[in-house]
Amino acid sequence: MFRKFTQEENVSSSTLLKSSAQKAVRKQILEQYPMIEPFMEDIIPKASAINIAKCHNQINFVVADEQPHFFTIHDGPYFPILRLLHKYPHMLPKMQVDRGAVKFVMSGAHIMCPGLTSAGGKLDMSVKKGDVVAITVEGKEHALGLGIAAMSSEDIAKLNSGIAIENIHYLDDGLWKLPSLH
Amino acid sequence: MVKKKGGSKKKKYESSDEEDNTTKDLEVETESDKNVDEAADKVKSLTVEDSKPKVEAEKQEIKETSSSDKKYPVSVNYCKVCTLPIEFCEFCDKWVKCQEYLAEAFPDKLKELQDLRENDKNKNKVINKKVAAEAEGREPSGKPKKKVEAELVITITKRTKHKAITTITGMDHFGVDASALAKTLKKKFSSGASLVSKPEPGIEIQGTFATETFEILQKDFNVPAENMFLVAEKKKTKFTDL
Ligand SMILES: [Zn+2]
Repeated sequence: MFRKFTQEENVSSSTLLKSSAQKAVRKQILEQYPMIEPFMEDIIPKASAINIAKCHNQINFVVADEQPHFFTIHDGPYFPILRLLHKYPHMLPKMQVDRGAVKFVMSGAHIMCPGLTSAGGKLDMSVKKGDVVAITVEGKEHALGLGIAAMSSEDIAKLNSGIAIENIHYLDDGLWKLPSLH
Repeated sequence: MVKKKGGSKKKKYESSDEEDNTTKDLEVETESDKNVDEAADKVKSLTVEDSKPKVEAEKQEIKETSSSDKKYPVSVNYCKVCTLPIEFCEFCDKWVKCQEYLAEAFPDKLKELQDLRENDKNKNKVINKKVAAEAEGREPSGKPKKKVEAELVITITKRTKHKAITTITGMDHFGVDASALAKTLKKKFSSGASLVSKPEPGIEIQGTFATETFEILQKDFNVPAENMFLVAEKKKTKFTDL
């Protein structure tokens, strides 16, 4: 999704939201991630204005203080930026891949079932198809990336073939390298 | 709740159950911030429904969660060279420079990462030795062996700019029945897969399915990963080296 990403090439417009719309965005984010409510003042302070940066491919960023914090694709669920997920890892269920999968994920490949079901992998059995999930690595503390479950954990364990997680945003991709958005 | 299954999967299910519980407890905790009475009611209703020891355990967990709340935001050590969390320096393309930085700032972490990489290398060496020996017609021990071309090759051939064909050859070395494999692939990829006999016996699939085929062969047909090769754009690579 963000293999290559620069403000100049990808962001087509940036709009300051009306205060009612800002409230609505905050509310939607907290509805999806109620666990970050105690920390919202650290993430997007009430005093900070929210901009929406629109990009090609129907990607919208929630920007405050020139920093992207969340994004949506085709008006789907909110995804946190990876650095935000690192601070609040309890936002997303964790799907653990083995060491061998890291270089594939970091080149943008989707996560295949065997990477999660091998000895180094681990499934969160509560994950359903379509859920936003964190991609973690055996032996590592911080998330490698995040994506959307292409099938439920139950099916991943049962079928063990094909794409398990659609890779959306990962360490060192274009979005990771983006210094700021305005 | 997930039913536990026997065998090797058991451990995985158990650990994910634990995570499941943690998430629930967090939700309960957030609610109790807003409305203490409501949370208390919840605990009461649980007492009625569930056995007593379980409720006590949950109460304890709630207590633990509120103290562990302070662990957020997690502070992350990012590498000054490659920008990744330092535990991921071993996977970045600036590793040489990262090591200089880590040696100063996080010497213990550097040692840990170097050990991990060394470990991976040794694993690959064992595999490479075996494959090299087989290629030269020897047993890994060095004894000469009847020459067997124990290679399964997956080839991607471009037909037009947008059309490609995936060809699989050599599965007979691994006791894989070509028609059974073709059937499986057809179903998995919803794509045409046909048996071919020239230039050598194999299967042709419309489209690019190298990684997927590799994984199916490894998991469902027990072909060793180190014996499989990918040929694309005139380059032959072992799948384990991709
Ligand atoms: Zn580094």
